[in-house]
Amino acid sequence: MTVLFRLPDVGEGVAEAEVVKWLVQVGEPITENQPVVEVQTDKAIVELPSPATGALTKQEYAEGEIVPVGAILYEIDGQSLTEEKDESNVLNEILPKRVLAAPSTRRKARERGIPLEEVKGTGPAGRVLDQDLDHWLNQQNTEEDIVDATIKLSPTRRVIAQRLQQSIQQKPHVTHFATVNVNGLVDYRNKQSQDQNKLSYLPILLKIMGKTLQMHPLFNAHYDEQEQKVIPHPSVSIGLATDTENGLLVPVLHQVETKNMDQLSTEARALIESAKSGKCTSAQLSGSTFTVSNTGPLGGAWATPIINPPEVAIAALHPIERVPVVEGEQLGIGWRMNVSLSFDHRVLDGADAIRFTNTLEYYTEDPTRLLREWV
Amino acid sequence: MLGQLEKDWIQYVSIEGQLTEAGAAIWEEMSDRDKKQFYQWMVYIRSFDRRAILLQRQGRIGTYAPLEGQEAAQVGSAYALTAQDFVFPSYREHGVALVQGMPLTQIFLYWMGRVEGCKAPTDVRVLPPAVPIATQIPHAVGAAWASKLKKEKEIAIAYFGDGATSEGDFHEACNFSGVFQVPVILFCQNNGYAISVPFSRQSASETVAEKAKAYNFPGYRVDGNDVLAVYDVTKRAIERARRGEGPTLIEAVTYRKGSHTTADDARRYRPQAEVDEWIKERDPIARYRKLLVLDGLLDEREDEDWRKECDEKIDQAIREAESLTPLPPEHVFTHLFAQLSKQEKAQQAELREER
Repeated sequence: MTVLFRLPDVGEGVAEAEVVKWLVQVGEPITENQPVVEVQTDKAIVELPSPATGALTKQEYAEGEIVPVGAILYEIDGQSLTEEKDESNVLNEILPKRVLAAPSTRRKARERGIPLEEVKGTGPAGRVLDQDLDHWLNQQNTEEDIVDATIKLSPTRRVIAQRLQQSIQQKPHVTHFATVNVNGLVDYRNKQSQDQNKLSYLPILLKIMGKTLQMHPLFNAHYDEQEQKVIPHPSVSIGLATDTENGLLVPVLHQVETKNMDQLSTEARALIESAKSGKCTSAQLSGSTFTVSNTGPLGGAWATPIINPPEVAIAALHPIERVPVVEGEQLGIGWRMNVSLSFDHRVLDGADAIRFTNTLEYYTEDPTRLLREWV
Repeated sequence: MLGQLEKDWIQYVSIEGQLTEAGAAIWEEMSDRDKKQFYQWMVYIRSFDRRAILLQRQGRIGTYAPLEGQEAAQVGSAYALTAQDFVFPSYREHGVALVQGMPLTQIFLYWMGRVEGCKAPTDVRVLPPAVPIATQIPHAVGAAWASKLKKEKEIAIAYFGDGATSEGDFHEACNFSGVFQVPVILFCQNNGYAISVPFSRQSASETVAEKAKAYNFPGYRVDGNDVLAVYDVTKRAIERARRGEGPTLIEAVTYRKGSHTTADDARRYRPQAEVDEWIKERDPIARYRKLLVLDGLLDEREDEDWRKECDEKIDQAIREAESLTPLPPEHVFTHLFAQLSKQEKAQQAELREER
């Protein structure tokens, strides 16, 4: 009777393993639980014992080859406790032929965004080696130099592209523009100038934004496209749209409503720093309920930001500037900030957006109003 | 190198198989049957453990947590329990479960990811293994408290590792059981490593046992590879609990000879010299075997027959476990929620269609 041995998941969630060494050759006798082959996963080298007694009749993979979990690794003619009928290698036909490469090489390729199947391997049996990756990259560079100057999207940009395209196609976007009075905000910030830990505008604005979002819970929500349902979130997690060398990243500041401005300041700075140095974990990049794009330091007057799905709104905060303002019959000077608020018109209306920025202004005009409501 | 381990610990059988003075007194009072049973259980459990690893490597069970090296800590403590006592194990206590009467077939089923492996027969009071760290300790305290309120004689025992002593659950359980004087045994198998974190990075205390002082109940540190010492210390703690004198923390100092689980590679974080010493010098079965030989209690033929019997029992249990009809993939939803959400129902249907 033929016993087929399929590569088990010898780790936890291992997808493949490399055959390191065959300990039994074709034709040799084998006893149950005798080690047959040594394989290497990302985590360890392990010996795989035989489930049956008999003789090894076939090795499906050579040493150095990569075996996907679930594929038939070898065959025994013999007896086992569990007998499996020959399924004519159905699984092998379904599974695509894998490119040969060591796990470490695969990791390097992934990190550099190199498609392994496009790399010509120079190792045994066409295996892709580390130097082949370098060679491929060099080739790409020279080709680009000579042939044209097009730039292939980096993995980060590809993700940005896909998400934004999905958002703009699915969500009916409307952008509301408002110029808000920030006299009180500027005063408040300047008053603490003697303080060593002087706050920047961002943590103060985040505190105000958190408060505003709690008062307008439909803005602090996700939209489930499939179910056509709005899911408001009781806690505020603000995504901070951050300009990095590799493109836009949105690290997330969680539970804004439970944190004071000093905490917001420290956390926002740490998050932006790790986004810029490419050290954000995936947990730090997910779970936002609303996104703020703080364009202030850079400039600009207005924008039409695209909503970060599955959220329903995004606000761009523009520079805080001194502008001429009419006060009664007089022309005076005041501090103003432009806000561009895009929202998903399926969930929210223009009037909601105006009410939102009105609340925002209520606090930027005089941040001490936060104190009145302090419990 | 391992000298500091021996700080203030209770040991009755030296690694050469010699009884200490206190050990000799206890040995004297024990029946030959009990003495042999210790050995037989340990041999049986080790055979099972080794087979389980083979089965995992053959893809016949899922990720498995090996216990080889900790047999004495498990057999010694479990042997001191009665069948009515409640056991709250973590994921490495298959030895305890076996001694308490959990059928081997069900233990295999557990590691095959089958719910049948979690449901002990009605007369076996072993709870399903707690995989999250330390969550079972307050449960044991609750069971013990119930026993006290109902004026029953049963005690509860929680099994956990050194890593669990850093969890809030452990401290809450200690605090509660100290205040309410519940009949619970907090049994820590300190195998030196919480996966790869050595005990020196786990706690600034030198021992686990001394933590009991803060909660004002006794803590004992025992050589966990000495089955006689573990048995006696646990037995005395249980007697105290039954007399209404409250909880006891026991730290059994031991070592897992293999990796944390079949998905781990312990060679990456443990010094080879340390591993060698534990395997070659301090093995719990080898030591106890020496004692039995010295005492004329080990018959080679009998030993061989027993090992064969163990293998047969294990073969039989595997056959039984593997003869169950496999469950379809959509079964993963069955025990997760009482009521599936719309999305989960859709995912379940999708899995069913793919099949």
